[in-house]
Amino acid sequence: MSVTEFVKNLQANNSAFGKKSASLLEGKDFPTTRDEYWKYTRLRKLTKNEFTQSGKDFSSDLSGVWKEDYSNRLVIVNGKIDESASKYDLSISKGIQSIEGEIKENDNINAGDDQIFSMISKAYAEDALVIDFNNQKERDLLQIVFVNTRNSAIANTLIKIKASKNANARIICNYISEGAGVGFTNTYFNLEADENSNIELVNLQAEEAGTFHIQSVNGTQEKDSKISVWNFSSGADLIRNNVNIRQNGKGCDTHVNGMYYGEEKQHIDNHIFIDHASEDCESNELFKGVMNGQSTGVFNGRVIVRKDSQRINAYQQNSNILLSEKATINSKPELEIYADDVKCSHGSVTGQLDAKALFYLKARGISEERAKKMLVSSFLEEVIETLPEDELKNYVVSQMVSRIQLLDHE
Amino acid sequence: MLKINNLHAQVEGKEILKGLNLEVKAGEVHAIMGPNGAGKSTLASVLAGNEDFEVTDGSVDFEGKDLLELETDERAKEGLFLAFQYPVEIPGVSNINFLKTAINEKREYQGKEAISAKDFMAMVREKSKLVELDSKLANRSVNVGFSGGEKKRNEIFQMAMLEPKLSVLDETDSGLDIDALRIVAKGVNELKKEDTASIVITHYQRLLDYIVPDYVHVLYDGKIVKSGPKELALELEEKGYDWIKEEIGQ
Ligand SMILES: Nc1ncnc2c1ncn2[C@@H]1O[C@H](COP(=O)(O)OP(=O)(O)O)[C@@H](O)[C@H]1O
Ligand SMILES: [Mg+2]
Repeated sequence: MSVTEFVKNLQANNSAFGKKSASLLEGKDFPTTRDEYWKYTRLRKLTKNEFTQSGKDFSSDLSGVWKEDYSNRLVIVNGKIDESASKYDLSISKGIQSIEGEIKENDNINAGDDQIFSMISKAYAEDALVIDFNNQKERDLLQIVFVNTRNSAIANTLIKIKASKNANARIICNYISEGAGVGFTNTYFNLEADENSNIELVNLQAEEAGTFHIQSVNGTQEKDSKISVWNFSSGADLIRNNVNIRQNGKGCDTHVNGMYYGEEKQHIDNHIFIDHASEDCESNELFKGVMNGQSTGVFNGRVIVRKDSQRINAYQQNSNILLSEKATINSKPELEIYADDVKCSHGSVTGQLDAKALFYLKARGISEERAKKMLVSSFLEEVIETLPEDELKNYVVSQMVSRIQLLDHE
Repeated sequence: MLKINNLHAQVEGKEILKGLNLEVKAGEVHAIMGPNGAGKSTLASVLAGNEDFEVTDGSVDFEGKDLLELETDERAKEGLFLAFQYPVEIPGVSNINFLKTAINEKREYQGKEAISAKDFMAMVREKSKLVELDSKLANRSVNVGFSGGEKKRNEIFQMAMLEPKLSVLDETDSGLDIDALRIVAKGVNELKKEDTASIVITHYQRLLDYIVPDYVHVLYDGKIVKSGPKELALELEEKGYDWIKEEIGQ
């Protein structure tokens, strides 16, 4: 399927990188399962739809979504910022022009077929944000709610997050949908973590059936910086998360964690790529999935330790529970190690719910449904535990509880 | 309270229970003894609704209800409790939350309101004292890191919390030292009421020094082959099971 066909109803933006991206996309086809990083993810159910750039009227009540203590709030509807619903005192530049010079058409970290969607974002985004976190004293908190109103809406968004030296940023992104029909959210994040800065990005993907979400997070880290990304994924028909992080300086720390719950024919794919391009760095990945119905989960954890990147610790774990015989999981670690003083570990386990434990709970009078939920919840809890602060953990659980089989925190 | 009639059950195509009959009335304590592999745990599993075991014939009436028609959790909600021979470890599920969930599901089933946090905690304190279970264990994951004895006492603790009508204790005594045995027995005895009953499955006579049964049954090759008063337990202890085999002509 050609990209040109897919974007035929869309208006490219008039930025230099947008035009460049649009021209790069010409004649390109969407990746197929013959392409290495799309082996398990068929795009047909997404690409067969005709999407259109849509307005920014929405009707969802966001009062249950806002996290009270976050003073900076942004609402992005179908890829466009809704000023009236947003408030903030951070330094934010908005609009496609703002991002000229900040985004290059080829800032791709691992240029390749997984960047088709970032290029679509760059070419067809209707809005963009450059957010500067430069507070040296305290952590800045920002919440962004992305609403997709469906009815064939495509939401392309470009967001650049810059944390300057010593700055601390915590960003929660809520993805929700409303309306009926199909909707496609295609988000592109560029993270720049300067020396000794800390960026935390929590993605709560809680859209409905009928929607598609492809997210690309490309990040670079300088000396002693930390980037943490969490992907909590469920609800949409197709979710693909690309997280590509390159450690450019010494002493970097990268955490990418997530959980996913699939049912019916949902497809949830996390492709994580960590490029250890400097020495004395660490990376940690923990992904847990629960697949029900005929759903499919994909986890690909690629780690490169470059030739001179000595003293690297890289850990990766992916565990899955299959709740039904028709659910599948494809889990693949990919370690490429070219340095010699390196500690790497990876593990991948897929199993079923413990039948003995389930029977034990039921024998105490707990219904099957509740008992399963308790076991699934306890399995996933390890991922919740990687979040900083109990309050954030509780918030994440409260937002995902309708999508993932989680038990409310007491 | 419980009436088992001609119960046949199989696992993986192999018949284990071969026409078992047993009647238990309110207020009674029944001991079931028998050699390894006789089918004692199978009986307990079938009563609790373990789907690994398939009932091929017979019936079980529990308080006027067809027990075999009920889901496992409904059986528990109706007042059946099984103390497992091998309690299961459940990492990540706290003992307390698990019990609170179980109690509240049962109360909901009975049309009662959820227990208040205060009443629940008071109950935890009282019942854990009864079985001398360190209250710290209550906050840990179900049975994780518990010693063998602690697991067994945790079973009795859960039993005390859930206040069943009929409890089935499957070799709760095995692997326990005399002290632990005494504690377990104390728990069972204190919970004994006019309108409750217990089935105590055991391998040894010694538990019956502490829990005095009204009846002793011998389960052998999938059937109750002999029943008698509590003295039967002593006789079994002395003579083993061989004389039973002779008596029933095998
Ligand atoms: N899950 C199972 N799968 C296969 N065989 C089983 C299973 N459980 C019990 N059995 C068999 O059933 C018979 C009775 O076992 P059990 O009821 O545990 O005996 P007891 O408790 O009296 O020692 C034994 O032969 C045992 O091997
Ligand atoms: Mg047994």
